[in-house]
Amino acid sequence: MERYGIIGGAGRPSICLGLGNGDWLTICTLASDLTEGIEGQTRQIFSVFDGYLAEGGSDKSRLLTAQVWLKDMGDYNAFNSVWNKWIDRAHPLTRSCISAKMANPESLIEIRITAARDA
Amino acid sequence: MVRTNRSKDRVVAIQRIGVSGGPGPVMSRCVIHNNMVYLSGIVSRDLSGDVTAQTEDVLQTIDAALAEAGTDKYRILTAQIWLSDMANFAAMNAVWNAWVDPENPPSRACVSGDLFSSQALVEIVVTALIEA
Repeated sequence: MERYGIIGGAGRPSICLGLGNGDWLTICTLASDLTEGIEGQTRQIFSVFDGYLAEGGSDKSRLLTAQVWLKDMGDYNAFNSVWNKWIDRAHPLTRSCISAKMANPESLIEIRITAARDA
Repeated sequence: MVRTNRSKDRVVAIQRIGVSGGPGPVMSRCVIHNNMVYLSGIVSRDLSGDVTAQTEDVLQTIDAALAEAGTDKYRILTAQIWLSDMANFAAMNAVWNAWVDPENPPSRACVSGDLFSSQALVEIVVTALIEA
């Protein structure tokens, strides 16, 4: 099992952002710069995904499923336009998108993905 | 001399069913990876119904999607249920209990949140196994 992006310390959760085992990899994060709006925060998350997917031996064409949490469902269309640009249109994944309260009120979106990779 | 195509041998088998390409979200209804089936969040096809009718319809859609993927509700591993209002828990759960095989129930979480459509009362995400 490999862990990517281990964080922790005062005021932060002790977690890893990505974890790979065998032929799958899961990554879950929110944006690091919460001063940005929904589109910027979504792009930050996808940038983190791109990095750990590459590091973990996967890529966008092998995404399996995503759970999206929005702070405000009113941000759905703006989020989705960034999603549609990032997704590999030939290999789209399954998805659920829900609105829920965030730990940090400036955090507008959090996403968890699971991807396949070579075992 | 026959050369083994190593890259082809190592291709991960992923099958996608029910791909939608916009203008809404680009996503699949179902993705199969090896023996694992991932379904997207399912809401009722008729959002005018109450939580009982909506849950029944969601579970029907899940049955059909699992059948299309080559498995069934007895092989569901996890279910994530999103309710727009936790006051609907008991009504949702009555439909769930009538649907699930009590000898082979999945793991489940049920949480309240706002769904994409304000008329949608329940959304369910399941992962299931395809047994060889």
